[in-house]
Amino acid sequence: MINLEQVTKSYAKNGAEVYALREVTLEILPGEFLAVRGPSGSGKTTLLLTVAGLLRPTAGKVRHGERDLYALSRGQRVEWRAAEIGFVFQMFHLVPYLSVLDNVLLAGPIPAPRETAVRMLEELGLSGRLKHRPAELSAGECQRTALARALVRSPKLILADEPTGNLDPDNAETVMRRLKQFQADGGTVIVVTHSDDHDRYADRVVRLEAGQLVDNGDGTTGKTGG
Amino acid sequence: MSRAVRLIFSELRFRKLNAALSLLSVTAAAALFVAFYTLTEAQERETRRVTRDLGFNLRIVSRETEMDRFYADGFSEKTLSEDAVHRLVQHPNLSYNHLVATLQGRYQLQGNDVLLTGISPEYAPPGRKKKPMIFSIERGKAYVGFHVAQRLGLRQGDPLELGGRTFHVERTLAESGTNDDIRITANLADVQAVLGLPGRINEIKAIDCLCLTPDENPLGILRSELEAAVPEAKVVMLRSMAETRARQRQSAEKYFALLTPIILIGCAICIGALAMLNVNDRRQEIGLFRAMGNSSASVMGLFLGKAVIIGVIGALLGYFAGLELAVAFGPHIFPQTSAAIGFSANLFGLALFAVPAFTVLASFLPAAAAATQDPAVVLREG
Repeated sequence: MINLEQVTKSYAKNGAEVYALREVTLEILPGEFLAVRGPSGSGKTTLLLTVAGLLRPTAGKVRHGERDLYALSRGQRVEWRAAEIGFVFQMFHLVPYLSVLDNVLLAGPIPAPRETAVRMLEELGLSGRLKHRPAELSAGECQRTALARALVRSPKLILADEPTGNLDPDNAETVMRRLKQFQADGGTVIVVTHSDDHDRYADRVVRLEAGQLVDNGDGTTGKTGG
Repeated sequence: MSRAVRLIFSELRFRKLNAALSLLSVTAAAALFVAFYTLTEAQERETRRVTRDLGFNLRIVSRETEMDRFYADGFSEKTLSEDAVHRLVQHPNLSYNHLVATLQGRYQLQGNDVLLTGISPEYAPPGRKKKPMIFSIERGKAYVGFHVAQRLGLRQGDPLELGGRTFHVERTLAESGTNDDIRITANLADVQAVLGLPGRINEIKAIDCLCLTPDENPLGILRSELEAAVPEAKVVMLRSMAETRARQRQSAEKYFALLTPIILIGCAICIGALAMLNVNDRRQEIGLFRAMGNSSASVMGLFLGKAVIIGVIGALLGYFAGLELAVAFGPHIFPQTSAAIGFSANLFGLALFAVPAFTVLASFLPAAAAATQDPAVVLREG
């Protein structure tokens, strides 16, 4: 279970306080597929990075199970992230000088077994691309590589930031189906998106606007006291 | 090969221009350092050789020597025990070298005034043995000055009677235009016997390192060393030679001391700037590494590991490039000691250790900047 309790993230900008997240309270169940929707600048990516332990909130708590994420040391968070989280980004973030296979083996401080990585890539239709570099791949192939990298260490949670944003419909479907399969295997998925194209894959869709949770998918808002 | 090493090599191959410029900077730093170091050593050797060829610059005589007579006669009438040279040479941290005990006196030879000089073998302090400056003379042999040889009609191989002993003329010397023309030089023990002064000497000649300028009171230091080892003696320094030599040596050292940091700082700035550009190019990648559970230390390790690899390759290339420079130009500048300019295992070892360390140092700030980069900021940039 992931719990966000009254999470606020604010920045000082030109002397004024700007809120990326404002008193967001959200509960994500184990094995849930959650879509976070909202327009650009609504705080979706901030929410994702906060859940990932990469962005300390200004106020509030983020809990993964019983663990208060930001009560952990930075090193403990690094270890936790390596063990439990896989990332998929809109811009893929593949390392340009590594082959497809080496990009997948990059996940975590200790690489996954090579056979597992190869199997994962074959499963995603990249068996003929193992030695290619990202520059030699299509956008869909890049995203499938990034997806393989996220999945190869069998994380408990996949955080996906606009994973289909740069893909054609066919590749977008492939990615979403694979994420759905990950959920079916027991994983939890949080997908950030600004469109409703893939709402059907999600168990629940929450909406953020100007850093506030305006709809938490069950007809209530996640904002309290505001 | 570990993942980190594979990553470093893959990145070097991918960003060829950055890698080449970094390697060029490191190689240039190493080559300049090696060339300067080698040429400075060559310059030092050359100066030592020139100084040595100028002759002894220290004269150690009995404390009771009357200096007016010493300067008038060219030698001291008062003698010391020959043991003094052995005590002196064993004195710890002695700054002299090439010590030679001599006994000199006037001698009447067939109605002619000659200077009879006995010389001992050359002594060096323990562990500082150097190539002798002077020849040593075997017992029973004599070197005859030009004027004496002319007057007495002596030639190489002739017998020569001195004090009831027969010597063999080893050589007759060319005209020098100094009092060496009326000198007969022989083994110290022989001359002691001829002059009736067994076990006595009247001068120890030596060469000082001449490292100090006059304001550093080199003579005071020499005197205190002598006082401790041979209190019955005093030292006279040929000052003009000493001062010129010391100034020359110090100006070379200052030149090296000034130029080396300028070169090294310049190269460090280049290496650091290139490393910073590299960090900037790799912001996304670094953010990704961190997001995927790699520690700051492992990110820093990637950059410092790269610096070590470039440093080692740069050290190898730079050493041989620097040596090539020194070998190409050194012999024209330092002709007398040019044969000594060449490969030095010590300098090679130093370069292999110091150049990577220098590269790591120059890359440290960029690496630290990479390691502390906030992955959230980078990943948010998309």
